[in-house]
Amino acid sequence: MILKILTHGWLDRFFVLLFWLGGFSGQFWLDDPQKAFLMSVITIITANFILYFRVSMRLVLLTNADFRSVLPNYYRLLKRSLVTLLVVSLLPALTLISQPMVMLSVMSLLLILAVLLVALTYQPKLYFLVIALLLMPVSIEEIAIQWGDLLINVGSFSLPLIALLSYVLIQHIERFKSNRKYIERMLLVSSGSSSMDLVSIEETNYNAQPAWRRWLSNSHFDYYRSMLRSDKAMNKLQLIEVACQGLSSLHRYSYFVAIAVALIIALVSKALFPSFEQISLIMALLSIALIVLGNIAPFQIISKRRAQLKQLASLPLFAKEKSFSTSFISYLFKQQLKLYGTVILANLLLMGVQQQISSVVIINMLLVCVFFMATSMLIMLSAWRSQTNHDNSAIAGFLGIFVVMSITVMIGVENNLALWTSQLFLTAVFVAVGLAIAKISQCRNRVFA
Amino acid sequence: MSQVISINNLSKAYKKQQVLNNLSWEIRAGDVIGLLGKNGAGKSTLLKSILNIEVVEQGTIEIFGENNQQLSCTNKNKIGYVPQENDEIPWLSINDLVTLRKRFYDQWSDEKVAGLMQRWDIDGSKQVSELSPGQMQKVLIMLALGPLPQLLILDEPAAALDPIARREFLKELVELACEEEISIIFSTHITSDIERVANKVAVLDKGKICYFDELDNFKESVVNLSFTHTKGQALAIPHLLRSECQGNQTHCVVSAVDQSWLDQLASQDVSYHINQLGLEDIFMELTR
Repeated sequence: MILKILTHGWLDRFFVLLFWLGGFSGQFWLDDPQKAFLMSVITIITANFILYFRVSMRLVLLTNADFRSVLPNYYRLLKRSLVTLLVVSLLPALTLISQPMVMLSVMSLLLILAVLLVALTYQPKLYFLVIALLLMPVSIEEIAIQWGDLLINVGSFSLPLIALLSYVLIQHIERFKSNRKYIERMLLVSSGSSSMDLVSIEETNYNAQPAWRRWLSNSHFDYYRSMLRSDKAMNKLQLIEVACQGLSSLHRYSYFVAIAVALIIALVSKALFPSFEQISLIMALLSIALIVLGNIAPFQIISKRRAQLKQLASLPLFAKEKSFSTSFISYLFKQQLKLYGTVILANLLLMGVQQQISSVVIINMLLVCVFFMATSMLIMLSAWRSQTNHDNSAIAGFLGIFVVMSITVMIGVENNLALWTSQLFLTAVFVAVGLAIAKISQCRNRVFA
Repeated sequence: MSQVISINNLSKAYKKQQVLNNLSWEIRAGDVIGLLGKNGAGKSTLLKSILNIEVVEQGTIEIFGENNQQLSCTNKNKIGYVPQENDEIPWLSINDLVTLRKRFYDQWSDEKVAGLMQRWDIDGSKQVSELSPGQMQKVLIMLALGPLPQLLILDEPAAALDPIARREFLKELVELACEEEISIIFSTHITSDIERVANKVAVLDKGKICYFDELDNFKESVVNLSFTHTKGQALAIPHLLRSECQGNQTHCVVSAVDQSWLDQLASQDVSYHINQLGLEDIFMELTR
């Protein structure tokens, strides 16, 4: 049963199985053994990353659940399930990778990945360390060439030690505690199908927030409070905007801060590392952070306020037919324009400082932003119009599309490719825009189911 | 009395589960209706459907003579609603929440709201997130009364209130109903609240209003009959809901008392007792 809870969610299971099967099929279909080997390693690591990421989210919930101290044998079963899960997750590596030393080192890597992801979930502060490591101006290719053999040897020989360490950590799982607020925050931003039974940050007591968080939230909310308290009339869009603000909303100055951060990073990197070539990585990270937070946070707030917004739609101000839905869609569109406007501006600044700007890049970026905007609105409106709760699938959809498109953009930037010459990409953009327009016109009658 | 709400053949399903099934109902001005129903019977869905918060698949609803989907601003101003769940914006103070809500209406009584705040001891500077469920319920009721509604729809309004607050709130409702002649529909599980406030009772069961009448008639609608008769004597009981036989004693529940039949029993030397049931028991018998 615990194993089922740990791996719950059809979407995650689907992706894990998809990648594992991809690895297996590569062995049969790819003629080049080198390519087949590389594909196996990549698919196994990706599948296990998804699996460990999801399991770590559940694990933190299970070790913080109230019933942990009530149910008999709770931790014994949890530990046994974790060991089983780890062993099963290593089987694809055992069966697919034919070179023994590489197989052992991949297994070590997978175990480290599992431990790291669990540690990150319990202590989200460690994410800063990971981001700092990612941004280090070192080439992974060089490391692979210079240190590859050594790393494989170290990895394979240290497998018993890493396995023992993982086992010991599992046996001490009851000692792991985490700050509830961190957990909620983490789940709010990155949760898949596990957020349903959790108290979201929106429902946590405002006064229980740390002082800096309260100050930050207050400085954001004060704008709306003063708007309400003033004698000036508020239009429908402003009233909807007030109703859509929550503790996890992006601060109203976030976009300026993002642009300023982009500019500072660009200037510092230019001054300190003149030959810095990872500008596309910084662009991608900044854009993903902005797009993911700028979409998922408002989506979740509005999803939670659905009943309240439906009630507001029934009030006299929105008596005119389609009045609420028109105002709401306009508000959503305005927010999306702000978000993608900021992303474009921040990226232009980054590239401008690094003198990597070109008309190809600008048009690429515009096309990608149009695609993102259309898919974001499509996903959000589809989820809100559905009678059943599809919030988690919507978030998974957001993340999936963002990851795929970010990779596309990075490839485009690195190789200076004109995305509009790709028929596949253009078709995707047109389909997304077409579907979004159709959904918007459908929602003009009623936004929420 | 004029008609306030008229519902015709209303149907609503969630996935494959039919919640409201061809429901028809009429509510007149001045009615104070207690809506009873089991958990999941569709009370909230019905109330939300009336307000066009929930979409219905079939049927029409008229409020003040207008279709609820094209309700004019004038008529929307006449409606107050207290939802079952609290989804109010947590970071707003109660004063700010009142100001926000006020902006959605053309008419709003600051005096009424201020009076209720004072009477219910509500601190306007407190934030919504700091309120207990009972305090929040009071705020929601206050927001619903702000526009001085002529139709008040309340979805389990007193569930989170303590006994004192509940009595005060019910008193407020009675005053509103008497002084301002507003129509009130409130769903509840607490049958004693119905006895205090309602003049009519409606029972929602299997997607339909299976009972709707004056409270006094409701109290007499189902009674308990006990007979003592000779062993083996067969009794054909009219309006029988259920019966239980123990030796020469028969206990049964009937939906109406047939006096001529009782006279007939007396003539056959069968002794009987009529026991009135409480509202809760009547509700249970009707929805059994």
